[in-house]
Amino acid sequence: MNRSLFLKFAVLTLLSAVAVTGCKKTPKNVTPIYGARTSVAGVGNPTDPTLPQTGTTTPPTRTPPNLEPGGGLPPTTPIRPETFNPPPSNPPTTFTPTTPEGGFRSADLGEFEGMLMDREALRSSTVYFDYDKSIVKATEVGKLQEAVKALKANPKLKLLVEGHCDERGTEEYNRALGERRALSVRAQLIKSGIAPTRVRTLSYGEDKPAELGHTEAAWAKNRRSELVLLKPKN
Amino acid sequence: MNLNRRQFSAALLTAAAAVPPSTPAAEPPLTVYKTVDPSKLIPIAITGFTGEVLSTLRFDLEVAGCAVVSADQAVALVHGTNGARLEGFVSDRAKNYLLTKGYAGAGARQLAHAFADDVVFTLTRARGIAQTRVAFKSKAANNTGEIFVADYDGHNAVAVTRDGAIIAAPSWGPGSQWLAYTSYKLNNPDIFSHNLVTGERHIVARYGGSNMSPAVAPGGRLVAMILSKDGKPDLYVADIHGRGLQQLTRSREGVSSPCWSPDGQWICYVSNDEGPALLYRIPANGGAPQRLRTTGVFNATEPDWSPDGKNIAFTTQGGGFDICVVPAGGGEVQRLCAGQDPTWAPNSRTLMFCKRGRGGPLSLSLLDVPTKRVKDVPLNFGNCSQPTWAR
Repeated sequence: MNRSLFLKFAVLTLLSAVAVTGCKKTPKNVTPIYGARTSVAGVGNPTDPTLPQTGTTTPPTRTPPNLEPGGGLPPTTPIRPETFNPPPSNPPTTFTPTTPEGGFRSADLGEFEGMLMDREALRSSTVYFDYDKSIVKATEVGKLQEAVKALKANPKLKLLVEGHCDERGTEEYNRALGERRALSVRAQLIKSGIAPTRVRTLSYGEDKPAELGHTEAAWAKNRRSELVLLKPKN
Repeated sequence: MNLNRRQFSAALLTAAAAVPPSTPAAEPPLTVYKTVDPSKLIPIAITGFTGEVLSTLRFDLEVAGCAVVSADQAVALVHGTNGARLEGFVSDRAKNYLLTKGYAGAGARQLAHAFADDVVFTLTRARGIAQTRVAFKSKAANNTGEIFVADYDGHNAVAVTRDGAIIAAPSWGPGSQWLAYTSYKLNNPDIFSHNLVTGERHIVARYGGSNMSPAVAPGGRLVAMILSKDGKPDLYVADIHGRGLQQLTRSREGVSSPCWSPDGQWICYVSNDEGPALLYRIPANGGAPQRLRTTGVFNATEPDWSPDGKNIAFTTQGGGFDICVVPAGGGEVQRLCAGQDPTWAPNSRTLMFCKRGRGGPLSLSLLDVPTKRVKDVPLNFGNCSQPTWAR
């Protein structure tokens, strides 16, 4: 009598124990995580970048394939004066845009290699822009005369035009906007008779503010184009 | 009182026979994913896990659109144990097992991520993103920066550059083996390609003017970029070595931030030719640009095309920045949250983006588009921006 009672009790206990806890299964299929990346291989030593085989920085003597030698600049003609003023010794030249949209092709970076940068010479020529605009305002254009004079006085000099933005756009949009500003200034210089090959442009987007701060005053100081005079090493 | 062996075994057998059988994970009896409203968080409970496994799992599931609640409010229970290996289960309220799996052979976070992906698949029948990686840039106070690669949750971040130069716009090659980015290391904005496995770098574009905003094509053999060498910032395409350069746009004002359609047939970009920054797309082989309508916003920048091809995420600006989504063919814009520079996860559902606190540092956050829930990416260094998700 005792034994069968105990048996029933044991079964009941076992059943209720299982019912309360559920059936805890040991997983049959263990997923091994092979090759889990805990670090990026080869990360320690990024190399100095190599130039591609075909070379995007071309030596100065190489002619771009789709241009006449001389870069498509029209021959310069002296101005026939209407009055009896003698023709100027530096006849002004005009440069034809190299793109249908009025842009001028850049010279290769190699053309500017080894030149020394003088940021101070044209410090006061910094051009300021309206928000989200790259037009050189009429009130700013006059600042460029000093640069034009300097470049015309010494044909060995070249110019770097930097473009900058305030922090209010998104980063890559600002990088392109800074470049549009630099190109705008360059176009004005070309209009004043400076050869396109003497002026290079470089955008810093919002990465090199002139003034830190999140006010309209600071932003206005950052929307700018700085002119850097480039002198040959000797 | 003493049972003989025969009687005891009989008792055990009876007990074993009474245990309810468990269903395998293949066809769950409760189809959670069918009853769930995609704009609502899925209430789940998590028990049994501890430490880093628990925190990783919780983060992954919250990013994936779950809300962690108590068991009585949950529609599914995520439970198990973690020790030398992770044993993970998902069961419904009727105690049916929807998932039963063990994980071993990696660190705690990796095991938890793997389990989280399986949980997400069980609950939503969609691919999880817990084991994916991102790249982004981190700026120093002087705005020089380095490119970092990290798990999507910000952990295991590793710098892949150390140039101390201005750097921008990382873009992954497929398979997470290489990146393209803009670097000022050579005193000009140039586009580099960088093999993450070997460390080798090559110049893709170093023309006169600025070389900006590389976007690697889905097939990994082409790169789109913005070059100003011909007088305006325009859209160009070349192979990953920079050869075979082809100019796609000839704009009046200039273009910026290209991104590819996932089938590689189109490039979406921003142009100012009509005044404000607006979205356009152009056939990747060249052709006429088409304006993408973005009804409801005045401007659009930094587009990113979802991997399923259906939507384009972008930033609009008016006062602050907002993350927006528009159908890939153009149309009504949906504003999602404050932020800029979104990048799609491989699941075409989650976005990573950058938040810029006014006067504060830049940081990265995650957005679940259907539920609009935002979770910050815990990174312990400041000024992180321009995220890009490996696909």
